[in-house]
Amino acid sequence: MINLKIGIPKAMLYYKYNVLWKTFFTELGCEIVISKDTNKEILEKGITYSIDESCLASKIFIGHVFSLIGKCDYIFIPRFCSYKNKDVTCVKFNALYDICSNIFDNIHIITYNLDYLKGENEISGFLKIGRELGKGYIKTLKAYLKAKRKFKQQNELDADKQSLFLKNNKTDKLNVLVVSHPYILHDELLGKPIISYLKKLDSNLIYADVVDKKHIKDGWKKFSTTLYWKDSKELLNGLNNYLDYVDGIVFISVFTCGPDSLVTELCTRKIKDKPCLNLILDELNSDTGIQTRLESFTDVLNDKKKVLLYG
Amino acid sequence: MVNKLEILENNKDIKKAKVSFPHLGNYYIPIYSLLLRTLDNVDILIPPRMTKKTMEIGEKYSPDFVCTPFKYNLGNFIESLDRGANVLIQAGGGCRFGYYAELQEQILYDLGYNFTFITLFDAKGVDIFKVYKKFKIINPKLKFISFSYNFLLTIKMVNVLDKLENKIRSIISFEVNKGEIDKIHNNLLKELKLIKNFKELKKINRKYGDILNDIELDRSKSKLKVGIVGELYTAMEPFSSFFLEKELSKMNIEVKRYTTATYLLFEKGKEEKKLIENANKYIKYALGADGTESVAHSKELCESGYDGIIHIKPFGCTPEINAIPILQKISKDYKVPIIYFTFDMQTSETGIKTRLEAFYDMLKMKKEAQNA
Ligand code: SF4
Repeated sequence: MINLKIGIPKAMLYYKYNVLWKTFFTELGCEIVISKDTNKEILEKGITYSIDESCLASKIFIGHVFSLIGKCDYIFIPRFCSYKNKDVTCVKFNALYDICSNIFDNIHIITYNLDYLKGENEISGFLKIGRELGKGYIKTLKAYLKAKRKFKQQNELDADKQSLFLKNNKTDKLNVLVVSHPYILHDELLGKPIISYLKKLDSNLIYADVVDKKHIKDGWKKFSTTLYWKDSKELLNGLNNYLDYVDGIVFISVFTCGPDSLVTELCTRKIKDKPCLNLILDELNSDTGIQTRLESFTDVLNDKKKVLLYG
Repeated sequence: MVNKLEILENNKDIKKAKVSFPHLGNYYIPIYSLLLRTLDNVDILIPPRMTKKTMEIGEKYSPDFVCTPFKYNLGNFIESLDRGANVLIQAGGGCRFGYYAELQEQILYDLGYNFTFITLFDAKGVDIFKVYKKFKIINPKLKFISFSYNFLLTIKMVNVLDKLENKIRSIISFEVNKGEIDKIHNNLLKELKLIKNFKELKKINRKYGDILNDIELDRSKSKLKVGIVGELYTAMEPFSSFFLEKELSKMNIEVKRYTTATYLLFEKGKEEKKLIENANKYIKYALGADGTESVAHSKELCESGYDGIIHIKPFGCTPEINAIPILQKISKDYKVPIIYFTFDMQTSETGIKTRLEAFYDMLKMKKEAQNA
């Protein structure tokens, strides 16, 4: 029997759930095709197939989906809406499935729907996928449980690594906290160039999205009383957790992102004692423009640090 | 966080509380009337009419990519504060609306204003008891029984207003005596504002229902019917769409619009499942905020013989952007033209008008070709 090929777009929540998804499909005996790192062509296709005003992250996602058409049996596009404690996702995630099924005629999508408020939880979603792919109940359940375990382990491992680094960090390099959705931060064209430039400017990078999600739950309350976006809350939990260890904070978001425009604004208004830089990326950004801003930002941080150290 | 009651009491020493709220179409009337009837211990300030200035002030102090309604609301608040308001009420709820309040409050504090900010609803919906508690902050003597009476009366008022305005929307393009309906509309608003009980409301409802039924209409004039779908604020606040509906009526186009406060408060929640079912050829899930409605209603309009559809939204409105690719498909399948308007501070009014005229010409030509 030939294995089913499942295509996974390397964009959006892939960066959060990839261990979960990859383990699950592998355990089911599927072959996985992951789209390439974002490149110019993926970006351009994404722009072509998207409504102009869409956020850049979703355009990139569409480009990845396009790049997988014809290369697999199914493209995996889950739908996210609400979580256990009534938190919700950005509404973009409500619609990616339907957007893709309408703009691409020749697409086969496999999906699950995470919408706790409507009684759609993760496990029932994964079991449904198993059924659809003709895998047995027990096999699917086992695959899910294993995937979930690995996913949690990975999350803890990453968080521990970062905490450990902070504790043992004896260098007098700058510590810069980056607050950004993982799909922006780790994207080849969006966040990666910024990360490597900051490293080149001799800073240690701390990532707000890497935080022990099991134990750190309430940090966001320091910045907001009414926030209800799950991903923003998690970022702010990280922000709060690492705030004391860092010299400055870089917020990275993308053009027309609604949630971030509100959340970043509120944070920068509330954080009075640490310099903040707010970068908003769009299709036309020039690297040099951003590099200049990063340079002057780290200059400010360095000056501040010197004053602190030597009076 | 400073205790809200404390601020208010401190305020009272200096001056009497003055309560204000942001604009949304003609709903300032039921809101004003509710405040008037339940907060007899304070002054109520209807924010100044929206102008270009309101937009500019709002824009100036808002973060860049926040959507236009945020900026309008903020503009309303600042204009009210400058006129002495010291208690601001924000409704809350909806897509990002829920989170608006918190940031607006922060921005206004940072600007140095001294005021109390009250958010009526949270993301979870309307809870009359919670709203009552908020009102009690302002008027400690307020009894629940009297509040609930007035609250229900206000809701009924909104229903009546929506019903009559829906009627107006559907007939205004046929009126024989130009300007007649506008005058009636204005009188309606004036009378509605002063209502004190259900009996009076009933009387007004009947009176204006009759007046509108008796208006001389010439139905031969207009041959085009257009539906408006899209984001709720843009649909309900005429200023934010450059008075789009007025323009349409000038072109003798009959207009249907689904979005009203009545719809949002009472029908939307019940309807969602049905809407998705009806549109299941296109969507499997809800698209967020009003996106599902835009899709399902557009399909419905196409199926019930409308000549065209106008989709409106503020710049960067994600749920409506979600809906657009699907609307494009519907438009293609049913061969009903859909025009997309985005409104923000940079939108040029003439640009919109030109596109609207072109759209009108196209619909007319299409219709004539069909009839020929
Ligand atoms: S949170 Fe922002 S970047 Fe992420 S999907 Fe929503 S609009 Fe796009």
